[in-house]
Amino acid sequence: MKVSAEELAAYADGQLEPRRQAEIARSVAADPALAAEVRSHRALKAKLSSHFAPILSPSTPEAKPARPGDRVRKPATPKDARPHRKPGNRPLWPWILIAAVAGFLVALLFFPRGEAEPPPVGGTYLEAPVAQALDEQLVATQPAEATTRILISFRNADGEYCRVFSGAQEGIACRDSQGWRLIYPGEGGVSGGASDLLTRAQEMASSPAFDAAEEQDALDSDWR
Amino acid sequence: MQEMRKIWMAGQGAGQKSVQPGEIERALASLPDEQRDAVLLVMVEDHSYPEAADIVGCSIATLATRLVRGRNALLERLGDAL
Repeated sequence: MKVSAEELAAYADGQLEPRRQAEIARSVAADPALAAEVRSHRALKAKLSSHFAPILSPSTPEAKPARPGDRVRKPATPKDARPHRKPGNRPLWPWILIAAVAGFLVALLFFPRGEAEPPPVGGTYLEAPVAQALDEQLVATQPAEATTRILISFRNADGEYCRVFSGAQEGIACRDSQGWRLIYPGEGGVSGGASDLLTRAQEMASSPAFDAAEEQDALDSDWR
Repeated sequence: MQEMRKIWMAGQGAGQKSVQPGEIERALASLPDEQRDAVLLVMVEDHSYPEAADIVGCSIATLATRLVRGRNALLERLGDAL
């Protein structure tokens, strides 16, 4: 069965009508090359979603002072509650993208990568609801209205699972036998925003950030 | 710490690398406006194809074509890092 590039991408997004979705699912199951393409499409979507999650998260900007490296955030609303935009109206995202690029440039200015300080060792243990979010949420499937949003997951040099999170509290936590240990920022400290957190995470990580499948495997193993 | 960064950058495998801060923004900025519209509406704002087509004022087929071209360009730039 012939599957066009558009159909394969729509299949990866779950946008086809059920019968066609099922037909293509059979083709994908029988063709490793198609399956690889679907994985690539889904990995890209997961990466973009997680990357812009801090910008689209429902945090309240007035609750925290602006910091170098902060990106401009807009309140996220459930998709079906968003005001309908008429055809021809420009979407909001160009402003989001501009803000993200500006935030990145500011982050580069204030947090040059070569001079970043190492993350502090140790840390306190997080409690619910943040710990629960770290236990249960996946980047690709977490609800838009989630109070705590997971940005990326990775393993540190000790082999522990670690996750970068944002929301009312934001930081990097790693899982050990006692629970989610806050690694950065230190207790009472304040991070420099998403760019700062990602830079710290890169310094801590022993491998690339997890894709959706790796994250699911980690969750299935209870992050141990 | 420098060693850790090297490990991240190397991605522990031939041809692999991680997405660096700003790389996604640069990749998106390189897309034509119409493709970037489609990618961000569907893949970031999580609109359905009909919703995204309605917002940009094109057919669903056109939206799908723009989306595929945009994501293929992004995969070409970011693919090894995903």
